[in-house]
Amino acid sequence: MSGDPIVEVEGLRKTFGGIVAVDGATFDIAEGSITGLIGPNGAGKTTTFNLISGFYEPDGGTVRYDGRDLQDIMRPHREETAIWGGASGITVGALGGIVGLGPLGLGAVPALGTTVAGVAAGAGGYLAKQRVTQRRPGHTNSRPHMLARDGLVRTFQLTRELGEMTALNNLMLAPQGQAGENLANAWFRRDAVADEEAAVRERAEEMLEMLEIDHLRDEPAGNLSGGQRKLLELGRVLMLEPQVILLDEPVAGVNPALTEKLMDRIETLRERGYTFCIVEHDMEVIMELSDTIIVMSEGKKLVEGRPEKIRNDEAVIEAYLGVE
Amino acid sequence: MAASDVVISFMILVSIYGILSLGLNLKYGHTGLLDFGHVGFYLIGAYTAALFVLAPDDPSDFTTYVVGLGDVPIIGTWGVAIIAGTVLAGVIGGLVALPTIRLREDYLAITVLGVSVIFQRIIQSETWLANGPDALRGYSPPLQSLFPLAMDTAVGAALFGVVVGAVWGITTGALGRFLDDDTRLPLRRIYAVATFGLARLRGRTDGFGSPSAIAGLAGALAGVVTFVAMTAFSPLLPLGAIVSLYTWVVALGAVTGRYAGVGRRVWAVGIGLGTGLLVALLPLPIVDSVPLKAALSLGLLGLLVGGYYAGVSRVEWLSDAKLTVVGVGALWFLSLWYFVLPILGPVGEGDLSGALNVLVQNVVWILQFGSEAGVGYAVAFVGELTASVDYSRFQLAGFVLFLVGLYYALELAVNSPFGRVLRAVRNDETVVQSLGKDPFVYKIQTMVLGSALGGFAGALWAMYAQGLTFTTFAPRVTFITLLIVFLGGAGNNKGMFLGAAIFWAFQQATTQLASYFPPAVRVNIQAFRLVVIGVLFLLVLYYIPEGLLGRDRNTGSEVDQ
Repeated sequence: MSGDPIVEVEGLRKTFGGIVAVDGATFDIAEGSITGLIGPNGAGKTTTFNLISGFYEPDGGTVRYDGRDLQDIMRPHREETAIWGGASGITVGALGGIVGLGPLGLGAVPALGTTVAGVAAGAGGYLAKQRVTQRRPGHTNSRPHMLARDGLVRTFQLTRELGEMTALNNLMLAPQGQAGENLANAWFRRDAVADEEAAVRERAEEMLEMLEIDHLRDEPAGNLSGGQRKLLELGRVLMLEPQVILLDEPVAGVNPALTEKLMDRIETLRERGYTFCIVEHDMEVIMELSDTIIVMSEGKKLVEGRPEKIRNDEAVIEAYLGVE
Repeated sequence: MAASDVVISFMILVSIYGILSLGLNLKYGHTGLLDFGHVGFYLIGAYTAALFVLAPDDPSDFTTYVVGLGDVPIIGTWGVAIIAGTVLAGVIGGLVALPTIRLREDYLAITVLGVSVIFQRIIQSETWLANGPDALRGYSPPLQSLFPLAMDTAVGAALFGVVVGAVWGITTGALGRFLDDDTRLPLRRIYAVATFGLARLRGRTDGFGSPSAIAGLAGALAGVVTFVAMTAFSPLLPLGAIVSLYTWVVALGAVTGRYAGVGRRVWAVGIGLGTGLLVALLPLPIVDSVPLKAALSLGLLGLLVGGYYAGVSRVEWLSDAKLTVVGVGALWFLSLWYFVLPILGPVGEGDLSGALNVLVQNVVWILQFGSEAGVGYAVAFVGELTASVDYSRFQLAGFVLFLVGLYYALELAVNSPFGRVLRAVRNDETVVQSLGKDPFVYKIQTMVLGSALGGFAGALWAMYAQGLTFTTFAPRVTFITLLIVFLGGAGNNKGMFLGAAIFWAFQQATTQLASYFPPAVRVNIQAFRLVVIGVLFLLVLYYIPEGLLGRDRNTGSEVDQ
């Protein structure tokens, strides 16, 4: 039932000071599947999530998403480099001009020379530095938003709701590429922005209804209960229409009836082609949902297999219960 | 000086600081960027604008500056100067932001504070740039030579038309806004008349139906009508009276609408507070001995504040309305000061027509009375009036138009999806990242826009002050702006008007009070004001951290409303 791997993790390593949080983890997440990631506390599950979603920079190993290395996706693109180079040039150039006119006491024309020299030095210096650092082997970037744009999104273990904004606005924030997020459109193309807003609002309201928190529509998200926040966060990433969703303990604190609904929902979404990777401590949930389960222990993959196989695996029982 | 003239100069300062605070509010209130260096962009705007309008440097006099573009046609005009100051401040704001914006909130604040001090030092020590530590002057505000307006010329009529149009448009806009939740019939009639029947457009759903569009059209029409009427019959006083009365009626409507639901007890306590303040200040002009009048006034003020504090902490219905009471009291005090105090003198001497004369001058605020030039009128019961339009009223009309225009543009921005991302950045950047949006881009845009607003305010300041000294641009200004932001409510653009008004009312009131003391004491009082402002800052942060108007609860977008 699972297709080609969409996320390939190979030899992933991350240390914090002396602690090795992830130590050469290697596994695949198959497209259109639900992969469960379990393991005892401190096994490195959340760190792995942070690495896959680009929030942490790895110390070693690679993650490939949709056949591309994450580091390639997150590399600064041309516009960004141009802006930084230009800004460095303008700054150093202005300083050059001021120094030329002031302390050096040059005339207008020589001062223009120092300005131009400053621009060249600033822009060139930045580009050279950028070239050197980006080519250095093992150089990493952290630009998680670029992964989210490409359809790899995650939720957080400790929910991160936008507390001062209403539940509806939390959801309406999410969709990609809204025209109104551009200031010029917000000022000069208000009709188009309003139409788009109406569509986004409709989708957000449907999402609230589906998650059964539509009565909290106008409540600031900070006032929601823990379980409701989990739902809101799930709704928020779904609003992005992603390809791969990393869920960090999605049902912790959600009541059983709703958990049931949530699982149904995830199943349906999987059938529609979404790929899920779930970290969860609730064994029943993970066993029922997952196509494949990966068990992690001490930063490494311990076992991988179908739920029935994991349930009876000696090593897993040992890792969880700490026998001998 | 008539009370109306005091209010005009007060309003000009409120407009400048309002724009400055709108900039800081965008950075801090909406996006959560604590910019302690906001004054740096104010400085850049002011000096850039001044250098654009100054005539080329004359090496034989004692001032030096790097360029003076005042003689270049078009480039050397105020319009271009303001745009240049705004743009340069915005660009430099962006450049400063690029390396610093990744820092955590408090580090960012300190770094930008340092940058603003560097700007100030550059002006101070680089003598060739803008006359160093000495004042940079020698330019004049636009069109000033035409004032007071010669009413028999077309130019005079046209400029008066501009003033009337601006005042009419803004007043109509305000009326149209609060009419939405106010159904009093006379106000609707007034609105229908004041908009020349354009109020019918309100039914339309496209851009023409909004109160702002109607107000703009009505203002333009009012300006044209004024111009035509002035060239045909020159009815300066009647026109001034109509426009002024219109603003008073709208102000009265707004105040009564705002406090409509307030109980009689609260009104009584508010009026008591306002009157009490007046009584507490009475010893200042009456008693001669300096220690005695200071002691009396301070004692009475202490009693008043103590009574207020005891009241709001003991009495339940009063503590629910503690801010409302102060609002009512302040308005009551202001109306006594504006309408009643000036006529007490003439009335005391039994000069009723003299009293009426003063009253008319204060009511018809849009005209200046008593100057040499002007149109003379002899009105029954009132006596001789010499009416003219002076420069500060023209300047005020322009500044307030700028303020309202920028406010409107900012409201559009923060109520759009763009503003929603800014609020999200303020709440939690990580979430914004996880949703595929780069917080960095939004923070830079905020810094550029907020700094540009600071630059705009600086350019207006350069125009108003007609001379710049580096000491004006001390970090103090940033903190005053921050006080205004906190006072009005961080994240609430409307609050900036209120905050700036309260700050400048305090400044002007203390200046006026200080004039009742001998010069040696006066200096001390002026220095002591900063201490009081510091205490005020603490009180605001402690008792009303949300500000007077609170955070703008409208967290949705345009379509929400």
